Formats: sequence, C-alpha cells, structure tokens
Amino acid sequence: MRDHQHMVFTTAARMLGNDRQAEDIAQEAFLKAYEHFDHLRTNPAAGGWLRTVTRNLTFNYLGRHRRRWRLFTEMRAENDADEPGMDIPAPDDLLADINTDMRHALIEQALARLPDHQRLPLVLYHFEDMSYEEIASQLRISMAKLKVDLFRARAALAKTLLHKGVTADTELTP
Amino acid sequence: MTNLTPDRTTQTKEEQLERWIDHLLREQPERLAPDTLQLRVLDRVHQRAVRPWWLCSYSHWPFAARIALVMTSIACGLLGVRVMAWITAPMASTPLAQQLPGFLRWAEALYEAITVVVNHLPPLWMYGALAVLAVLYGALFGLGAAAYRTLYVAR
Repeated sequence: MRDHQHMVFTTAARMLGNDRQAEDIAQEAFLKAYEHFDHLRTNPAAGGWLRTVTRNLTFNYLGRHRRRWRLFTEMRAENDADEPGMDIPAPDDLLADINTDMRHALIEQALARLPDHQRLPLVLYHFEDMSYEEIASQLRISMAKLKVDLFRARAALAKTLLHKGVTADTELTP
Repeated sequence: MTNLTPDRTTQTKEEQLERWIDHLLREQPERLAPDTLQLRVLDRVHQRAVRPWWLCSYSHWPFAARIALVMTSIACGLLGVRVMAWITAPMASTPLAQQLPGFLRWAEALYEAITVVVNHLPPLWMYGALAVLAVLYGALFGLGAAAYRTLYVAR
C-alpha cells in the first residue's frame, strides 16, 4: 500500500478536484486490492490494476454524485460563441519567476478549480494517457464537445496560472 | 519552459497551448496521500475481518450457507407456485378446509372470498387493475428518482 498510495490518491484527487472525496475513493480502491491480495501481492502489474480500479471507482462516484455534468456541458453550448476568440496567454510568460515547488502547488490548485466538465477530460488526456476516442466514449460526449472542453480547460488553466503567477506571493499557502 | 516551441511559427496557438499544458502537467509530481489514508484502510480491513459472515456479500458466505440459501429460494418459489395454483383452482377440487388446522379457519374464509372475487371478476377488470398498478408503480419510481436528484444529488 505504501508503494502505491500516493499514485492512487493523486489519480482520484485530480479527477475529482476534491481531496476528501479522493481519500474515500483511495480507501475503496485499497479495500478492493485487499480482496485480491493473493493475486496482487506478487503481480508486477499491481500498480496498473490499482490505477484502473481507482479510475473506475472515480467514474462510478461521479456518475452517482455529480449532477449530470454531461448534460450540463451540452447546455453550456449556447455560450460557445464567446469562446473561440478567447485570449490565450503566451506560455513563456507564465510562472517564469516561481520556484518549482510553488509552481507544482499552483498548478494543482488551478486544476482543482476547473469545473468538472473541463478538468476531467484534461486529466484523462494528459495524466491518464487516454485517447480522445476513449475519453469521449467514457464520458459519453461527442468528439466535438470533448475538443471544445479540452481547449477551454487548457485556456482556463493557462489564464489561471498567469493570474496566480502574478499573485502567488499572497495566495499560496505552502 | 522556454524550449517548448521550437517551431512556433508553424504551429497554431492552440497546438502551442496544448503542448505547453501537456509538458507542464506531465512534469507534475504525484501528490502525497494524507497520513490518515493508511489508518482508514487498515481500520476498514479490521472491521471486515471481524464482521460475521451473514453481514458480508453473498460471494463471501460459506459454501453450505450459499447452498442452503439457493435451496430455500427454490422451495419458496415452488411454494408460491403451489399457492397460486390453490387460489386459481376451482373450490370443489381443493378440500382446503380439511387441510387447515382449527386456528387457521380464518384463512379458509379469506381463501373463499378471494376465490369468489377472482372467479367472478371480468378479465377486463383484472387487466385494468394490473395496468393501474403498473402505472402507480412507475409514478412512484419516477417520483423517487426526481426526489433523489432534486434533494440529494443536487447537494
């Protein structure tokens, strides 16, 4: 458990954007692992198994407890008109003067503050290495919607980081 | 962070952003799990270990208990079929009164009443009643789902 607890917690926390819920999911994942302990104890793929279980448990949790966020994203389509022209900050300008630990914390905070329908595709694509097709299928959204959500998520993340970079000294709690 | 966009002129701004975010996120180290996680898991494992078998899920029951449950279920099913056969059979062919002990005479009266009602109801009424029951069940289910989504999920 010690070997994988950070990975399991991180996976759930990034998908959910909520540490307390992520701890619940991590607990469930390890209890499932305990049920298969004999099989997993010597299995080199135990980490991958745990990651998949954590991801599935998180999907189940989101399905049960979050309010139809897929429908919510579809309803937001009417607001699309103002998005394509959004200003994307230049990457080189961001977080240039912030030390590594602080930058990592800022990114985690910014990620957690994204709305579900933006954070989840972003996490699945960049952290979980899922393809567009797999994400769209898992989240039951259209490919076009997924691409729009991903683009908005990246742009929102970049904007937040720019803002955070400017005000990092006052907002960070190390 | 400055070496991310060597061919910036050929990239769209969107691709540039994607590459930068990808690089930024993949650089992120794993977060540290809270100290309480291990304790919580161990506590739950202990709770499960001391929990009696009948409170566990069916797959964790002893083999004999699983067989007993299956046999009991089959017996209940057969009993249900038998009871239905008694109710729907004509009164004359079932000497029920002779089979019941004295303290169950009320069951005989109930049986007779049900038999009379069932045998004299027009089939259309029966189908109508079943349809009404189905509609009421559906309405109850729908109300429950709506209440759950409104009062619980929305929180």
